[in-house]
Amino acid sequence: MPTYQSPASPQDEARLRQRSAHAFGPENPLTEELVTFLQSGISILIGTVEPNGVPLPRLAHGCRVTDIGTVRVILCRRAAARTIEAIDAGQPVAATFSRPEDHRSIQLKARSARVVSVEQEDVKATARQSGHFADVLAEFIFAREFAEAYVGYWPELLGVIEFTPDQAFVQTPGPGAGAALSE
Amino acid sequence: MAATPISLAPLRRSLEGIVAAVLATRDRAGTPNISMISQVHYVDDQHVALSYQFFNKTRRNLLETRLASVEVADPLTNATHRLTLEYLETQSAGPVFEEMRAKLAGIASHTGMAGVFRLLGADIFRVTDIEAVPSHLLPEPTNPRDPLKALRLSSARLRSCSDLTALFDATVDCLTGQFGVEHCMILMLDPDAERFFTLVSRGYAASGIGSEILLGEGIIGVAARERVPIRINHMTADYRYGAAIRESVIGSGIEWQAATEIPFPGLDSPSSQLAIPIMVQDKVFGVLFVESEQPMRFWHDDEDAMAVLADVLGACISSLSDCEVDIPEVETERAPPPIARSVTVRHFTRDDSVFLDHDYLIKGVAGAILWLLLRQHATTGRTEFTTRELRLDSTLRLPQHSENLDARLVLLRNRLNERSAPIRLEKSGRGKLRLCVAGGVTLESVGAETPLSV
Repeated sequence: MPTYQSPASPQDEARLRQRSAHAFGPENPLTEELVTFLQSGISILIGTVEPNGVPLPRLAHGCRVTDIGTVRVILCRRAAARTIEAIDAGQPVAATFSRPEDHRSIQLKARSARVVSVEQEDVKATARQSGHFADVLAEFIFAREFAEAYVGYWPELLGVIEFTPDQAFVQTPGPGAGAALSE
Repeated sequence: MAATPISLAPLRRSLEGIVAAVLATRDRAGTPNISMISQVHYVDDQHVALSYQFFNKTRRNLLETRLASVEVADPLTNATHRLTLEYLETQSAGPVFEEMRAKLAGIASHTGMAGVFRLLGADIFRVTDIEAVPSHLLPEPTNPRDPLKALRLSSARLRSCSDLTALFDATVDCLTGQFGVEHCMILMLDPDAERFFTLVSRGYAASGIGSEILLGEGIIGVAARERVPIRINHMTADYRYGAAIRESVIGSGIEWQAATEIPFPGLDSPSSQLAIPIMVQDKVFGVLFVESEQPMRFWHDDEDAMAVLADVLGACISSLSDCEVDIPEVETERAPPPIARSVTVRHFTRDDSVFLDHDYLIKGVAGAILWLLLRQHATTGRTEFTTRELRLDSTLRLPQHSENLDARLVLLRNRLNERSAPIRLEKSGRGKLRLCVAGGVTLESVGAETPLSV
């Protein structure tokens, strides 16, 4: 029977941050350590708001961080049609990245994002990351068959939302959750 | 175009708290927030409750805009739906809160978050829209369980019972035979003693008849207090029984407690538990309790069916307990004949506990009843008694409005049978009892004597 790691705490995030410098200048909250975390094959959630004010949740399937610090979140165009439409209409975006083993969670926010074409590297990264995520879910939470269905997507229907994060927040459950990662 | 009426009924499996839900909110300025939420609880066909555990950005957004959307997935088929929600209120007590608190304790334990997850409130939402989200679907599993059929057969069997002993036995037999439950018991509430007594059980190494659970302990106590079924599908220490009773009654003296304790038969490491209150005429009679070592053993349809079974049981208890009017004797109930031997019966007035030689038998009202019958037998030679005279006896201190005398007699009779005692209680007709004593009985009272109404 697999066991969970000790749950992460919001205080852990501050300690990690002290050891890792900004990777893309002071305006971008990403550090090298966070860049690795975002692309490590974990749970990715995308939130936006429709022009009529209704908030929209969706699961994403992969993430790439570019050399200039933009975050590319890879979604299924079919399942995330409303999300993509809202982003295309200029709505802001939030993305939460969570590691199931210890519940470490980070939320990124950007005032604007854009819908861009999928690249071959996006497809490869998504296959690698979703495969790892399914393995973890199958080890800790679900039967293998369900884990694979849960992370499943249609490769021919991938789409990408690209944004430069304005802010990052600790979202690991516990006291101090919600704090901005400023330094 | 007329709007399609909202119905959450087809999504109840997605609201079991097995697959974490994805919750989106926004603030007044329109900035979104996105997070996982461990519970979206089914309240009724148009309402859900979300667990409020921390005062965070999600919480602030909800209070500001009262708007949210949540994505939920069926834990078997992965069918995914997005619900649009309107926040109505937060409840921090009551049935919905307690159901969620118990379920959250199970989820927290299952996900390594025991001690971090704590329910502060149940946020109640109206569902204003339901939308299917394309997902990779798994086939609907073929389900050999048929709770409705099990309920129909069980209900017929319960209604055919002619006395409480048969009724309680039939209930646990139906739970194991028809519902396929591995471990179950019926507990009777004694509100004056502020505890439950196990009346009957199935599936445990020892029956545990007469064992006690303090009121308010674990899911049995919560189900009775809130008058609502409580279901946990993952093991959690928060609602575990084990040695809890011993720890809770230190006030009465550890040694004394140990001497008069019948071990509670519950599983050491249950993974699924369901406690359903048994109502008799608007009062809590007791609790139907089922458990399993298998996680996710009891689903909402099991809960629905067993809740109706508990209702049928309550109705049958009510009709069979109404024995003020004697009716012609049709059949007498025969307990196994007592084995002849001499015995010293000791009665301790401090809690009406009764020992046969040095072995603890029973305490409380059931103990007082046995002591009363034995005293009367010793002084007058009587063997025939009526439940009516027991009800009217002031020394028994039967609670005026919830006496459950017949159930207490079932408990006493079962304990005597289980101990192979040289004393038996037989039902000799409606409202009639026969005391059978084989061999010499010596009576000893310890502590201040209680006057008997001989």
